[in-house]
Amino acid sequence: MNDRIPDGDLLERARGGDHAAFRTLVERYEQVVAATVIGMLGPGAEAEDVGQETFIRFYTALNRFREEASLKTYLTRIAINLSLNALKRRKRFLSRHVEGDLADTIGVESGAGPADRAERRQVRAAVRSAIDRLAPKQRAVVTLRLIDGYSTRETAEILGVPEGTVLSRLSRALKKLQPHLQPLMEA
Amino acid sequence: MKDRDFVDALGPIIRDAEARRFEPGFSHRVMERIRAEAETPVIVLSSALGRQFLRLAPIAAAVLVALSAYSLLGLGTSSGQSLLEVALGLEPLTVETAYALDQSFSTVGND
Repeated sequence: MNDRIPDGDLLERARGGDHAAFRTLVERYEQVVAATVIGMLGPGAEAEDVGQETFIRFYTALNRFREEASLKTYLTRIAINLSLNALKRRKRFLSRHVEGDLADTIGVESGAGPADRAERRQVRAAVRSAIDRLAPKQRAVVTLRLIDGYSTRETAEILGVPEGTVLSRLSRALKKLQPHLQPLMEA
Repeated sequence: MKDRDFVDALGPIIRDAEARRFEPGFSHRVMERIRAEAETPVIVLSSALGRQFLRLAPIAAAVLVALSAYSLLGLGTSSGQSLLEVALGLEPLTVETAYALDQSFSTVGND
């Protein structure tokens, strides 16, 4: 039922102090923010924390959000900026996530056998390891373009850079990723 | 392989590899943090200080500019001081002023 309420109405109610309306917005955009922060930071406690912080920042800025940008783009922008800050603060955090035991939380794996799970874990580790090699700005472009599925123009808008910069960062990132991920693509 | 082909092939691999959702109960945890932070006096204090700062900062900046202009116009730079010294209203440093300062220190406590 909540799915039918437009974002604008929920925003209006949230601005008036309606916590239930804001919670509905969180539930509606939780997946969008998760895709971005987990793409940037890897799964784990840090991504969860940045995800929460994204919505807290949004909550404190409710009255400043003018709905010129879509809410999805706005939240993604906050999530990317906070993720970049987190990357600056904690340079060595990713090694923890690669070895993390979060496989059990992934629904798609629940029905898979041990061999499948092991293979999936290997793929995930390889992908995460390859992404770890990217500079934060390149990682942001890869996350937005390849994981979140934003267009080049949308990615440029979210990051506040020209489209040409997005393309050049993506090109450099792909050159770094290719040798590490090519075997996965051929498998 | 061209970039475009590589992007097309790589996208699904990266997307499938990651668990792209938070643990269940995420929205509840967000709302709990919002409630907790709203009740924290530090945040109330910091936002109050922030508002005061925003109110006072332009006034302080205007006073700074006015005093700097007054010093610059009043003294000029003919005394051999740098512009910064003049803007800050510092006395020109000469042998006499240095001795005068020394004497004023030596007389402290003699009264």
